[in-house]
Amino acid sequence: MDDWKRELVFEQARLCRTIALAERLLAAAELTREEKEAVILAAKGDMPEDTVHALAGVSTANSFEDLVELSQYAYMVAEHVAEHDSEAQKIRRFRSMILRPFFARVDFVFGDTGEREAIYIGRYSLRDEGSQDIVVYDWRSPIAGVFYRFGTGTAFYEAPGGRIDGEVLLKRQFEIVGGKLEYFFDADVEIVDEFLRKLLSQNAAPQMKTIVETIQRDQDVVIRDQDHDVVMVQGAAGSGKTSIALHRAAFLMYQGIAGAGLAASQIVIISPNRLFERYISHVLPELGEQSVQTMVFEEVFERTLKQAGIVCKVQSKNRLLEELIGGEREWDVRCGKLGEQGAKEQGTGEQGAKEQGAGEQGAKEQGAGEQGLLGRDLAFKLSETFVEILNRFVGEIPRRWIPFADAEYGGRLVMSREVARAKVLQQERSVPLGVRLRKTELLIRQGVHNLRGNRLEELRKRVVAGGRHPFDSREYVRMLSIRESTAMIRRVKGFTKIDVFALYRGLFQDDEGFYRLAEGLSLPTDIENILAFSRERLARSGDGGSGGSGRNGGDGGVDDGFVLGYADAAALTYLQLVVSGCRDFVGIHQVVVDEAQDYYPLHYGILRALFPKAHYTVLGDVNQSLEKAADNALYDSIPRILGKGNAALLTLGTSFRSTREIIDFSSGLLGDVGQIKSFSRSGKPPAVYGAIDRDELREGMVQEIEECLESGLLSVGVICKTEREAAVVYEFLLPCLQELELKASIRLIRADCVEELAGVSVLPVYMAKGLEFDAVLVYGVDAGNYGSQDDRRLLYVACTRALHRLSLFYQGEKSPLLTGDRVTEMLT
Amino acid sequence: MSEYKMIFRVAAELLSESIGIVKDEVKRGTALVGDPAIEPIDIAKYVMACEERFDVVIHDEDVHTFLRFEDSVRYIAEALYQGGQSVALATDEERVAWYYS
Repeated sequence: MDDWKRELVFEQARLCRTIALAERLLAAAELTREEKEAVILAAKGDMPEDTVHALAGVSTANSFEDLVELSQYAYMVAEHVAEHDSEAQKIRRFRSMILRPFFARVDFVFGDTGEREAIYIGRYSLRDEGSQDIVVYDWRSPIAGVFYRFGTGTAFYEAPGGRIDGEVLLKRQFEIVGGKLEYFFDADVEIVDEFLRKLLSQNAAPQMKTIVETIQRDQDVVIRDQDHDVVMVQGAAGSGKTSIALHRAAFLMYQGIAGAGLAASQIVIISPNRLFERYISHVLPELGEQSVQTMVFEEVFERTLKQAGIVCKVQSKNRLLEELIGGEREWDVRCGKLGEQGAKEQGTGEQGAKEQGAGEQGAKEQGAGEQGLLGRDLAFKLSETFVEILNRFVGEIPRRWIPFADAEYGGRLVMSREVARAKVLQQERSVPLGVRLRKTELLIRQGVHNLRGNRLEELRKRVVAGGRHPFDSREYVRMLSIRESTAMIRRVKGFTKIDVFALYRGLFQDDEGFYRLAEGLSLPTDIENILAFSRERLARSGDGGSGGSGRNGGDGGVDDGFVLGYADAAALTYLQLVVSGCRDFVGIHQVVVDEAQDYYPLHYGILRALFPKAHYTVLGDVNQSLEKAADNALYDSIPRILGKGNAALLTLGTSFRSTREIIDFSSGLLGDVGQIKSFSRSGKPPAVYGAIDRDELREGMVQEIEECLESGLLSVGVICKTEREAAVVYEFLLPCLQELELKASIRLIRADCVEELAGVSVLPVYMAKGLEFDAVLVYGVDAGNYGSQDDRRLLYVACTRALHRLSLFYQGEKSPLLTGDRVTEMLT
Repeated sequence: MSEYKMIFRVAAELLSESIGIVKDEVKRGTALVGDPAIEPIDIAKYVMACEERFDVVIHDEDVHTFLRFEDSVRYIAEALYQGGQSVALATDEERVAWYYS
């Protein structure tokens, strides 16, 4: 006891000294910032009176010039602003340090010298301004790795200069709140369970939080990996994949002693949707780093297609999922009925939902039979087979698809078609075809420029000798030359400019050619249907067709109302990137791909084309794929498609999100597949409620929501199968919840919307991916709604969103997926 | 005044002289090629005036890309700064060279 008291006094004194240091450094940083502000103001003062000072004002008539001018002055100011921002970042860090300067201590005895050092670990490092000693080590520093990886006893860490061996004599964790030491305890092996358990028992936050204090050993291995080009993580639901991805990003940005960290602009996160982007947006700033750019695939499609001159909207993945998942007719009928009944009882407020449901049902009937084909079309076009077909197609383009022609100017041959073709074929194959064509065009133009002087002279003589005209002769000659040159360059562009849309459409119009390209590859059994389906869908976007043209291949009309299907947009994007190359992202060094199981080989092909030299961190869970079955073979194909040989796969099998009961129930849904370990935290067992009619169903759900909120849970997710179902359920619950006058708000989360997740959120399952709620209510777990193997994974995703409480509701016959031994066992 | 703005103003003056309109009526979006109101001979006049005034070469096969007045201004700016450091004004030649480097 005396020892403990002595230690407490020592640690309190250490904490006081550290906080005092942080306060001194904060004061100094604030002073520096004021000075920087004065410099910036002075620099801005040097700008001429008529310069636009803010980008916000640059949308007026002369915006382009203003922008160019602004950029010139902005450059001068930018340097000062960067310095100012750096000070501001320091200030934020010091303020945070004053409240909680460190969270752990490791006493390490260096093997070579036998010297013992107490290493205090915090969110950021803190250095004594006088002695320059490190008072607190950043959690990302090499020596801090000892804390995450070892218990007391022999340990080592990788320093920039090589491996350092030694021994851990003490491992201690602190709970410091508002600059006050609440308690501390010494741990032996893992990050102490109590600490983690306390954190995990808290409510889900509307936005993801940092986990620096509780990073587990296997998570730390992923975060600090620097040996592989591709680091892949197969992690169970709730195993902290996304947190790891973000902490890894922060680790890679760590400047450390080597000073070789990445800049925020060198990292990109491929995110499934905007809601998820928002959810994770606070983590890096909390870790003291700038946010990195996030990218959604649909944005890549639109941007690339625009560069290719294809003006269209792209069907979003969520819209596609809505079509694929919500395709069952029975479901539509049921959903419509629900809306109808609701409307009868609750007046006109729900009429809109009902009408919408009815309209959609009609549309679905019209499209009946297309549903399965849509899924098969998607699976084929995003497959490795189709990637190979597209690659072969690109190789074939200069031989079969480009109408090479003689380039003539003023009656002279500048380059024959044979020479032009040879030039394209003989140039380096690693250079994209579009660039090789452009280079050939530049050679032709150079030839034309060499001839121009003579040609102008010929024209001048002809004009003088020829006829009468009312113009100045020189100007008249120039006009003729412009006319002639324009015709010439248009002929040349006829073969140097690639129209990827026309080529892509051509691929499906030539059956014989298609099968030749696919030789030796395994095609789906109904490939003919897929080809016919593609011909029809792409013809709808044909030039001048009544369905509207999505193309702007040059002189054709443009109709930006055209929506290109997701699979075709992805394939066209790949084709454009491979044909024309892309150097927009050469600065990107690290690409983080979350929810990797939801992407297909073609997606990875696109990533390779966009970021050929980057390293990758890929995180996924094959049990959480939505519209397709996936297995661990995914992780074999990813490095192959990305063209990276040096890859590692790590598995995280422990779930930290949910209670043991929820995890056991959810893994029971997966049958033998799910072998998820749960962190030992117990809670209320999941419950399945069957209702005789919809009133009882509603009553049960409302009661459950009320109980959840009353018991202090802050976020409740009502998870439905599709957006349409979510819209109906929202209307169905809203009046009752309003009557209860709950403090929590209720909101409908539609596809692609960005909302806070506090209160009650009604949302489709695909929007819930990656998110978490204190309590989850899964709606409509009846036999009609959740019957297939694909539905099993959807149900698994829905159930694993819950932290503390899970309940499932149905009307009619219970889903057969909920009758397995393990599931039933969990419920009794 | 920035160099771009200077090019813009001078070019606007030259265009107004070539097609006979008031200088202030020349906007960045003023249609050039393809606009039936502007005769091809006036375009030729404008091109020659720009070459002389800015000491640049405007290739005849590029003139058809001057759909709007600002396209011609950008072209002149690119010609003036060719080989410079401006990424925004990188030319096709530079883009091609990047792939071969």
